[in-house]
Amino acid sequence: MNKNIILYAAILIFGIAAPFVFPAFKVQLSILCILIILAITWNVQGGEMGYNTFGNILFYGLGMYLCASVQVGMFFPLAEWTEGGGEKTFVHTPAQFFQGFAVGLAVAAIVPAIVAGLIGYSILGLRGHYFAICTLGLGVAAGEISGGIEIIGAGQGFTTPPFPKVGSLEARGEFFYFCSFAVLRLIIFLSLKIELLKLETSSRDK
Amino acid sequence: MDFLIFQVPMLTVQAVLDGLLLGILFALIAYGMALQWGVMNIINIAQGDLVILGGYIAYFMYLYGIHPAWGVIVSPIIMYFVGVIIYKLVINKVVDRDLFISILATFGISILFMQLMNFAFGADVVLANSGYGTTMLFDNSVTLPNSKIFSAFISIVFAIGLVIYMKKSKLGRAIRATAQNARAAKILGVDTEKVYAATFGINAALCGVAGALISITFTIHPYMGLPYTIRSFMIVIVAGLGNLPGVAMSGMGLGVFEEFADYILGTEFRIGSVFLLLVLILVYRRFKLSKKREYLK
Repeated sequence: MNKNIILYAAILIFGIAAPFVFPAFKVQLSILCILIILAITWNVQGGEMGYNTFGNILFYGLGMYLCASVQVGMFFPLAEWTEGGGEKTFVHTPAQFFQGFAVGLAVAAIVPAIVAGLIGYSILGLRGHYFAICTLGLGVAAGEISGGIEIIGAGQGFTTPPFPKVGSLEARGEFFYFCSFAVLRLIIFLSLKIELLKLETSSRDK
Repeated sequence: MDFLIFQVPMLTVQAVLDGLLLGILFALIAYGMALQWGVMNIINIAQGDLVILGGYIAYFMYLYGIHPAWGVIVSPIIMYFVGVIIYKLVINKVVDRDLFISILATFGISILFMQLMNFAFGADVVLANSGYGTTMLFDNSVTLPNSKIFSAFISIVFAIGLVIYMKKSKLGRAIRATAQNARAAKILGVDTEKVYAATFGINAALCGVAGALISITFTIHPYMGLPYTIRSFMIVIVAGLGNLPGVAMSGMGLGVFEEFADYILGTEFRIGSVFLLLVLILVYRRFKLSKKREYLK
């Protein structure tokens, strides 16, 4: 256990120091955090539960579009924003940007969870390769369908609001890095809880 | 209902005919998938990418001045060897393993093929122009490109040819014996390793024919493979393994469904509707079976 605490403390210190030690790689480090999150969550589903899925990208994409849509839609008309050049016509004030981002993050956490509940009710009864192919179908269907919805930019894509001019030039990278890192810490904490829960249940069953 | 297709009855005929001709082509690809699924217990996610690769062979023949219809003969020969090479390199290591391992391995091959084709042939949408012209029906209100009729005809010829080959030839009998019981076939002197390689090769060759026909009839693009995999998987699970008339019927059904989805929902949702249909079919079958306390095997 002591070893683990040292390891987690080392990761925490590295995580906090990383953007200052490697200032040029903040974006890559943020992506690294997000990829670790995706790997941990896949492990919970594919590794712990035995449901091998190819469709997690559905929830990932849902979260992206929801967060950006809420961030824009709270203050400006979404359809005009995505029509083209919206980010030039409408400009978020710093307060609007962060307020929208916070609400967007919350929505992006809640709605995909509900969608996952609904989908899970229907497809978790599938076994093995049928589940794998079904989730592959869901993931690609989500991509294809979102490419046809006009209000979120269709195939052209969605330009997210640019970061407001606050702090130094480095502020944007640092902000997104620490957001990703915080979520990573949260996910590691939750996955450890799940591990402990599993241990407790298994010892109780014995 | 203010959809155009319901206002103009002839469009319904057009959609049904287009769908049937397209569906025969899908059934050919699904036939290959059913063959290797039944014999080797492998679900090949790279099926669609083999189709697209076969299509590029016909396209390059067209570029070099040879009529792309010859691709129907050249493409399966080349693709047979591509299939055997893939088998020797990757598939023989996953053949006896869990089905999910084969899905993962072939998913990897699929991504590799997509990227390699994108790198080698470029990201343009291409087609091999056959110059076959069109047939007009019902006072010119229904148009059928002759290339579609040609591709459906060739698909039927190849499917019937394969059925006869599987029934009559020595290799065909060995393949069927291995599908029934690999161990017993091995004891009776069948070289199952060779049979597996040949099965994968035959599947790749079928994909090659289908690809050549698709490059003549429609368009091809390096990233267009996955929808063909999903379609053939769907056709096979609806028809059931080893049910050839079922594969043909559900293939044509899917073709017609797609054409109607295209008219009603719009072309942008065409592929999405295919993938959603797969999910719906699986969910429907899961709930139907769960009433009997069973699950999809």
